[in-house]
Amino acid sequence: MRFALDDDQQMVADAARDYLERLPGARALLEGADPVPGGWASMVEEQSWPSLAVPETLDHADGGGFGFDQVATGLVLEALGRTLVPSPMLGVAWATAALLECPPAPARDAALARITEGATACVVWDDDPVVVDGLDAELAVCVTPDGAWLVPGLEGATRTALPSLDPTRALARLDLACVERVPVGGPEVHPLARARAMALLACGCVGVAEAVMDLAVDYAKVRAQFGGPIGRFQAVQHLCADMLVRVESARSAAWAAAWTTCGVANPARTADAARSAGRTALATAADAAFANAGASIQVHGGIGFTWEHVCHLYFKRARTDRTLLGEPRRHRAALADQLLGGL
Amino acid sequence: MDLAFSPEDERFRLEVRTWFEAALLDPRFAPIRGRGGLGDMDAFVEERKVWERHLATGGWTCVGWPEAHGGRALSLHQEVIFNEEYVRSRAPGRANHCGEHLLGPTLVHFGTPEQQARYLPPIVAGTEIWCQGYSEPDAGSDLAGLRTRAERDPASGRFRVTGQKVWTSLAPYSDQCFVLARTDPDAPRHRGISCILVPMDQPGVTVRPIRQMTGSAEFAEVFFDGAVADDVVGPLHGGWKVAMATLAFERGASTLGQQLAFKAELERIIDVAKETGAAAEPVLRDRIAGMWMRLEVMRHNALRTLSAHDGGELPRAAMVQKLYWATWHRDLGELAMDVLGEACALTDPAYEDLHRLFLWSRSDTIYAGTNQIQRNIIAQRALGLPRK
Repeated sequence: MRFALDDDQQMVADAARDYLERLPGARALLEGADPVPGGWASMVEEQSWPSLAVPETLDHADGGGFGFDQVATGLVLEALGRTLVPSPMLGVAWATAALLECPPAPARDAALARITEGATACVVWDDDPVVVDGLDAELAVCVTPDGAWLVPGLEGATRTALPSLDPTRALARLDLACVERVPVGGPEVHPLARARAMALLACGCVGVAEAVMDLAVDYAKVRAQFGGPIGRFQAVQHLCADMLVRVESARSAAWAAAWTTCGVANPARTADAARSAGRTALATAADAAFANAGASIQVHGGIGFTWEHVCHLYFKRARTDRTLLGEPRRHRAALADQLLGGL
Repeated sequence: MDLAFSPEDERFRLEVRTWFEAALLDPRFAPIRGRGGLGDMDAFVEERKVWERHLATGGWTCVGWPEAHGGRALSLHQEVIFNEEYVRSRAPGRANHCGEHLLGPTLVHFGTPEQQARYLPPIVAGTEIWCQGYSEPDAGSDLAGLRTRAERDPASGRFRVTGQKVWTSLAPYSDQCFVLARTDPDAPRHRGISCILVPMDQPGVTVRPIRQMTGSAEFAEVFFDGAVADDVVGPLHGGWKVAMATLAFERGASTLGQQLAFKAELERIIDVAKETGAAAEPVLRDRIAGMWMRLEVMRHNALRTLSAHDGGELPRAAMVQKLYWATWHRDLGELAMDVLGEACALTDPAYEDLHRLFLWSRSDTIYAGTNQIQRNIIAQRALGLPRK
């Protein structure tokens, strides 16, 4: 038993954070500038994030990935949540996880190989037309309780950008009625792919929850009122302490779920355990991010309410992520069905 | 990262489980199974002392101590597994927690060879029960404000202890008490304190049980009026450091066992919810599922903390644990009453355990550092916010 990052995982996390903190990032959005000069291609070039979870050898295609377990991918999403740098990584990570739950086959392996080379991707869950990172995706994976299908090219799809509350998250409406799709997996894919997606989204929420706490704590150390920093007041200290409780709880839940839901990390996993780990992680981390984003605005006071400050970007990201794979109360309702029987 | 225990650790788990299953078949222990835990510590104390001695015959006391002092020198992981299996077996609550987990490790570290030879073997054998004399009426969260005095007679070298301690668990049943007392009244408040070992069975010691809101009396006031003592642990006037070390010896080995005990309580509430119809109320379903999720988080916070101990650092995940579990358990007590509904107004013996949980759990957010003190510690030590 060792619930801590391995050297490889720590290296991926440190590299992602160093890289992202050097980018203009979310603040650039407020100034109308390009948050990521060079775009996704440069991120893939520098960081190879899409390759992290892909096996080292693929049966039917050239190229392979690093073969890390899902925790490494989760740490990248944590760093992206922390910095709010816009990227299609969530869609790519979800699509990769879904494809990894499908049996090896030429179509699947070719799609994974394209992803490692920088192709953007998205997942269409349960035929929901609103898709995360769907506007510019080059391929899509459709996952429903009946099975999984690969959409290798989206040229014929009708796509509409949706105005989203969170300017750092690209949501789009996709109509795939006239697009070719190939079956890549059966009904067993859905619960596992969904559980993995929840774990990955939860990791991003951890980054948000910690970033807003750090902003609040740093501000409380320098903002002076009544002759000293406001961070000396217990009322402010206790707001910050509760933020740390939520950060560490969210991190424990998200890392545990990233590990538990991944067959490479946890060969003994079951669909039930994966589902409940995913739900627990997402409900915990999404609530933590949202509560912390609100508390951070409170600690910042008036400046936290302004457009110029990044607080509102985190607040909007936190509220959006809280709904992408179902609100926390829906996850609790699903768990209640399991614990108490259905209504 | 690997959240599974090793095959070697799992073999050890099986060894523990096998011994406890067999031991608890003994009819002497049937009535006390599952009794004597927190909130119930004054139940069946004499029977539990017999159980302590029986544990010792199997070599299951002081399992984390060095072998030279009669322990098994278990790894932290194995000690965690031991505690999990202990809880799972519903063995009675330990009567000598203070001796085994607090004083014993302190003597191993700070004691003289003579002190170790005198005091450690009876703890291992389960024959000498210890209590802890730290808190005082005017020194709770602010422990360094304690006023109990110990004066050394220059001729005999013996101490005379005078003062009052409070919230002393199991004091009426204890043979010995390790007391923090002021030995140099003129020194700065952290520097004039010593850790003194005081025998309880003497004229200068009076114990008065404190009846709690639960109706039981697990704690007591202890009055020292010139009580005689011979041993000081660690340097004279150096008791503050000894006391802080004593608290740090708790390696977190009990956290997974505690989580398992909490899980049994939540499962009991789920069963009652199905009986009472509360399981059909959406608001209560949401709360029950929320409690279940927080309990899983508690386990994973504990696992992260254990893994960090391997590396020797005290991580932030460790600093939030007390606040997290105390708040969870108090919420569980409130949930228990909400699940009972109107029946919570009656003291039905069938639900005695739920009332005890409801009332006892008010203490969780107070003892061992109140929630407010925990938040101060987190803010100042983990987040670096200023003290003044």
